Amino acid sequence: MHERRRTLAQSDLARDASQLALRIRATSSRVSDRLVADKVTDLVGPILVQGNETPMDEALETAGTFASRAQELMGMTGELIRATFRDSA
Amino acid sequence: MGAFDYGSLQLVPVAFHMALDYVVKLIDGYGSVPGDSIALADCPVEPKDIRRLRDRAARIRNLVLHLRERQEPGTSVNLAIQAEALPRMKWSIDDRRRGASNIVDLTDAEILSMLDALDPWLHKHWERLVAA
Repeated sequence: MHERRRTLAQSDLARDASQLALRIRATSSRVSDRLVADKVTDLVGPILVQGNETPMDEALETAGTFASRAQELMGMTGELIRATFRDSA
Repeated sequence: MGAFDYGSLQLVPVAFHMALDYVVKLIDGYGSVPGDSIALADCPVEPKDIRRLRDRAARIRNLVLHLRERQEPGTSVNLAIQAEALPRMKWSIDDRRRGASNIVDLTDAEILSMLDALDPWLHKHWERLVAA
């Protein structure tokens, strides 16, 4: 289990969003945590799948892959916040 | 869940941390990839400020996603939403260590300010590195 957790953290949660959601559900029964778990696969999963379109082998990463992922994730962050503004207007 | 989707909002610091982590990898380098000196040269935010904010977001991420190996009693994650013309949001954790309270927080204003500062710069370098 320890190795599993470390792998998830080291890979920026990247390669296994569904496992992450399962673990959150397994470690907490709080409603707030279940709401987070429900969204992990929907929101973290797709961006990670996009990340996986680039080589997963760290030896093949480039400055360009870092720029691409940063851009995707900045867009996702802003979209999550701005969706709240829109929904509450 | 009505106007505010709690689960999505709790993932904001998660996505934000990942974004800043890749920005840091771009300017500092990572593994066998050297830092991009051209991007570093015109980075609109002090790199040390990006790293500090990334590290703060990481501590929130670790509790939101249960990545910590152990959590002490009293450890908590909170999201406060202040209803104004534009809602203000603050993510807070009490990351207790040895029984002592250890508050870390992050506001939507801090996040949006950083995104606004980095976005045009990052897009320019993405075009140079990827789209060209």
